[in-house]
Amino acid sequence: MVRPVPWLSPLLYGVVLVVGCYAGMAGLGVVRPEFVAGLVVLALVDVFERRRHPERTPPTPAVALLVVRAALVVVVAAADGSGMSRVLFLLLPFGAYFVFGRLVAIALGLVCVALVVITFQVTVPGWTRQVEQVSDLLMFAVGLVLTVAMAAVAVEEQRGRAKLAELSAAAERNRVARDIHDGLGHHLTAVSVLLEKASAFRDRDPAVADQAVADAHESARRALEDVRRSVRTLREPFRLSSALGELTSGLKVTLDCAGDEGDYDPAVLLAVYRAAQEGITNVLRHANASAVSVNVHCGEVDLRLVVADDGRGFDGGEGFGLLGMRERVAQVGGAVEVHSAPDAGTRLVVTVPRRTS
Amino acid sequence: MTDVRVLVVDDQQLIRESIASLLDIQPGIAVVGTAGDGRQAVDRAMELNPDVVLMDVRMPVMNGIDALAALRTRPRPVEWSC
Repeated sequence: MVRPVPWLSPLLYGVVLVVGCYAGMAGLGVVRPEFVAGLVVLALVDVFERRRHPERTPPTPAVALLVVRAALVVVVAAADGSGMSRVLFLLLPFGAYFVFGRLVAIALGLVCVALVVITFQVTVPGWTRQVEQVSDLLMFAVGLVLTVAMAAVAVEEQRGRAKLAELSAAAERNRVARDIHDGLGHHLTAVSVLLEKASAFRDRDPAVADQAVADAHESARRALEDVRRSVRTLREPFRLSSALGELTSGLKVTLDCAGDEGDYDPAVLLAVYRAAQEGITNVLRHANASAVSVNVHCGEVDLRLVVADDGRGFDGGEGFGLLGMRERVAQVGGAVEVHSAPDAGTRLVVTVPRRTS
Repeated sequence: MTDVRVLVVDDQQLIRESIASLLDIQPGIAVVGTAGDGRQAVDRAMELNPDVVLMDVRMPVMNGIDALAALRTRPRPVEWSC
């Protein structure tokens, strides 16, 4: 865990130093040299801890550092003429919260309150009837509650962030798994089946066997192309228009890309690309269409992809490919619509808003 | 002994035809038809009444699971099973 609220302790050291020096100069109290020295050492202890344990301090050194800090705060508080340095006690439960947890932090806070009470008991006779001391004690207790609450919020926030990172990593893994299944998996299945066919037909009908080998070769080439494309998209910023151009080159597909895709998240562009790929594949495989068009419009508000054909269309019913596409598009906050009727062609519309957060 | 009559269903043409031709050359097996999606599979199965339907799961229009569920609702002399 990275140290939360790292600015708190230097801020408090600075405030205590300024107020203490002012109190000394204005003659409000006596400031002894240990006051400044103690604060400097406290700051050095912080620097030492951060250098030694940048991420998280292990429990044993954490206990030692806690004891050292407690001793230094007592020294500073005893040498301070302003009484402001009491606030430094708040740092003890605050720091302890991140290493030892809430219970230890609360217990330490109570010990600090008890110490303030004991100090008043010893140094200020009849303090329970003095407004100044009673309000000091109450302010200290309130400060303590706020400090522990701040530590709790910081810990929760860090947990939430870690969870989010974990979820994004899982989503990315799923995406890669889907890519492998849809692309590479399909081609390799074809290679395997075709080679088996070739070996079964070698003696029976050499021409069929040769054709199967040629088909297997073509499938392997496509698999390699798929892998290269996937690796390229992982390495380079993804360009939807050029990827679609590459996809549709050599096919009887009219491609039209408009607007600036630079404003869109690469994950959005990749999801739209996969949707277009699936849409075009479906048209080529099933639609028996004479005209296919792919239109992409990257607008101010949303990105819209339309894959339209004049083929035989269909009447309801959706395959896994479309389900996978819906999932993928929904992940980037978009939606998929399919309009089709028998003999009336099919129109696939994918819309993704510009901001998904 | 009569051949076992098989219907092969897969949306990838290369795979469908390869499997069909591989099965067809086995003694005792006759591929009586092929289909490219679940809906076609249901129609072809009703028409051809095969002994075995070898079907892909992930397919457009209608997947293999739904096609099997649809076949189970149709009357047939032999019970459909997975």
